[in-house]
Amino acid sequence: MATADEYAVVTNDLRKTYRTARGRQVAVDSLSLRVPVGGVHGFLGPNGSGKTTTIRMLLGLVRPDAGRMRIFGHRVPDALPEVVGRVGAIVESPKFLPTFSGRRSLTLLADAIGAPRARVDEVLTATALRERGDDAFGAYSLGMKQRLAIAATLLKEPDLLIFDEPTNGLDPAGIHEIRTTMRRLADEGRTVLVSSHILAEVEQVADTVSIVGRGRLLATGTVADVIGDRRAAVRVGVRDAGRAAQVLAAAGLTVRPDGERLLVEGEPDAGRITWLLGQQGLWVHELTPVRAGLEDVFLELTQGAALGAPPTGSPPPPAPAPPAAPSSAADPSTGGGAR
Amino acid sequence: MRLVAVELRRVVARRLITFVTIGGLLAVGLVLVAAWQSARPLTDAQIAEAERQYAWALEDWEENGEQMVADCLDAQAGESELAGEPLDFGCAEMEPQREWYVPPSSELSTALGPLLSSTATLLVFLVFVVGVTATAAEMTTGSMSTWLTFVPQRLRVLFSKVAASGVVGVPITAVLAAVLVGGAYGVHAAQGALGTMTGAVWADVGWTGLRVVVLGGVAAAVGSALGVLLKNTGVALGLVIGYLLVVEAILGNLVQPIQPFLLQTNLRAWVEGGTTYWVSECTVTDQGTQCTGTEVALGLAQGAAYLGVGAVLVLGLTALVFRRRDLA
Ligand SMILES: Nc1ncnc2c1ncn2[C@@H]1O[C@H](COP(=O)(O)OP(=O)(O)O)[C@@H](O)[C@H]1O
Ligand SMILES: [Mg+2]
Repeated sequence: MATADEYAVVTNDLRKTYRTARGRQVAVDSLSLRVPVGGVHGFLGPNGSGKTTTIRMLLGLVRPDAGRMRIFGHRVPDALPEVVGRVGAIVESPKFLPTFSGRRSLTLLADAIGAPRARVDEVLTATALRERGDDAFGAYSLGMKQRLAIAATLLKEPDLLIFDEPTNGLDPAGIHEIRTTMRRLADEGRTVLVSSHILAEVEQVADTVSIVGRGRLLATGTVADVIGDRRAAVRVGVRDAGRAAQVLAAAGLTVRPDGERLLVEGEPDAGRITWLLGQQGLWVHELTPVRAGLEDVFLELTQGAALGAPPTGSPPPPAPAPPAAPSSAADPSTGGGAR
Repeated sequence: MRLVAVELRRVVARRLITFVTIGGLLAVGLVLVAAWQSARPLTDAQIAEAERQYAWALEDWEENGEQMVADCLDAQAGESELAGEPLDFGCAEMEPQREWYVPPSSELSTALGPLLSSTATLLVFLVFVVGVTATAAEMTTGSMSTWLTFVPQRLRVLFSKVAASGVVGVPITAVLAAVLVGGAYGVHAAQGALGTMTGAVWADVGWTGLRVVVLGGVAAAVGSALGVLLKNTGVALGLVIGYLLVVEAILGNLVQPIQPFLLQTNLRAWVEGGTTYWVSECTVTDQGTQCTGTEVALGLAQGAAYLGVGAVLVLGLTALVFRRRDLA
């Protein structure tokens, strides 16, 4: 099958419903993901959109209600034993016995998969934990816990790394460190699948992204394709806002009032705005690039979906960018949903 | 096998195992203190006092003995008529005996067996706790999920953990039981109260000890399965203690016919190599309620079967649930 070469992860019509006290909770709904081999793939969506659930299903921790999954062409969860040695994953927070030292936890894991003991020291060194390796995991800082979890995944020398919100709770230095690590891993030729609810954290490092909302795929493609022209707006402060709005609209820009100021969307070129307004004698006293958060993108995307667009697949502007998979459109059969 | 070895190293590294072993040693120490006290020979003053009591009783018997026996026989005849069957009031054995007043102090040959089997329950409960926490801690901390992302075969993981706990339960129980037996020997030897320790007595103790040790292994294994099933040490222990209180203690007393199906009866049958339990049957007549107690035997094989089937059921249920469970 061709997907074995092109995609590290493929899911088709994946679905998971949790039974809770309040009834059924659809966590993942007809999700068809494509994660290309190599590079960093951002798996984006607001809290509760089903990212963690999807990752747990891929790892065999949660049993899907329906759908198929493949990792490097292997059907999972059935063939997980064959492929798990190539997959390193951290789901939500790093989880180890708090009374065990980092080294002990790693040694047990290494023994379980038959990795040489020397590898434990290597990965501890690689994650700058060597000196604290004998301290109890419970005494680690969050950043160290995160590093230990990464060290554990490296015991396997994995081809696919799955990080679920790895920067949660980290300080800026920690976030930067994680980002650098992910980039380095990808540059080594591995595939990194990283989930996040914060766009800014991922867009700098991701090559491709998938955006999910309420368990459904809303968009997928390269970062530029999916969020590029949505992400930027420019806030314009000008005395005669009304006239300025007319001028800019006449030039074909999308303008919307923003308090006393204007918000120009879909046009990152601030220079052109100044020029257009300056020509009319409208002097700009503020010009601030505004970045739409993932939530804005998400809202926009879900609104599109709610207005009767196809339930998954591409929203109006961007097309799925990575080698378009025939199955990415093969979804309507299960669409609709019970909402 | 490799996984079992890894899990063994994990269990042995748990701090709790040290705490439990120390706690077990303390408990054994207390039991030995009690044994030392009951093995201590009476002081001269105590013996003199006991002899005086015995002399008084004997005097009383000489004087009123015949009358007492006659009264007794009267009462026996009357009650027997009411009951419609001959009752034995033990009227023939009313003459005071010296050992009623001057009790012999405990001797090892008779005390060791009961000492071992009565302490066994405590030791077995301790290793059960070791098993429960070994896995429950992994469930609550999520370290089980991390483990499964390395070894994604749930049943393999489950059984390696259960086996490791079982294997660890054996030496813990063995050490505690050995300390108990050795300590009891020392305590009685120091008081010169060994009695006649024949080979048969030692063999009996040996078999009991062996059965206790096997039980320890099974208890630890079952405990670790329950830890996986219930995911939480507090919940698992709460459930077990609740069961012991409500079903074994309260219900077992109220509904005596369920005794052969109670855990405690079968544990006793296994540890003691067969046991008995009492069933009293009460009938209400015009004269009031009349109860007769019957002693029923429960054999070793029965106890073994009960415990074996119980352990297999817990393991099977855990395997069924854990194989399909969604893990966080
Ligand atoms: N174990 C669970 N039981 C019940 N509902 C759950 C469980 N795990 C997740 N959910 C629900 O499923 C939805 C998706 O959750 P999750 O996958 O954690 O989202 P994300 O990782 O994107 O924040 C949420 O509505 C969440 O409340
Ligand atoms: Mg999550």
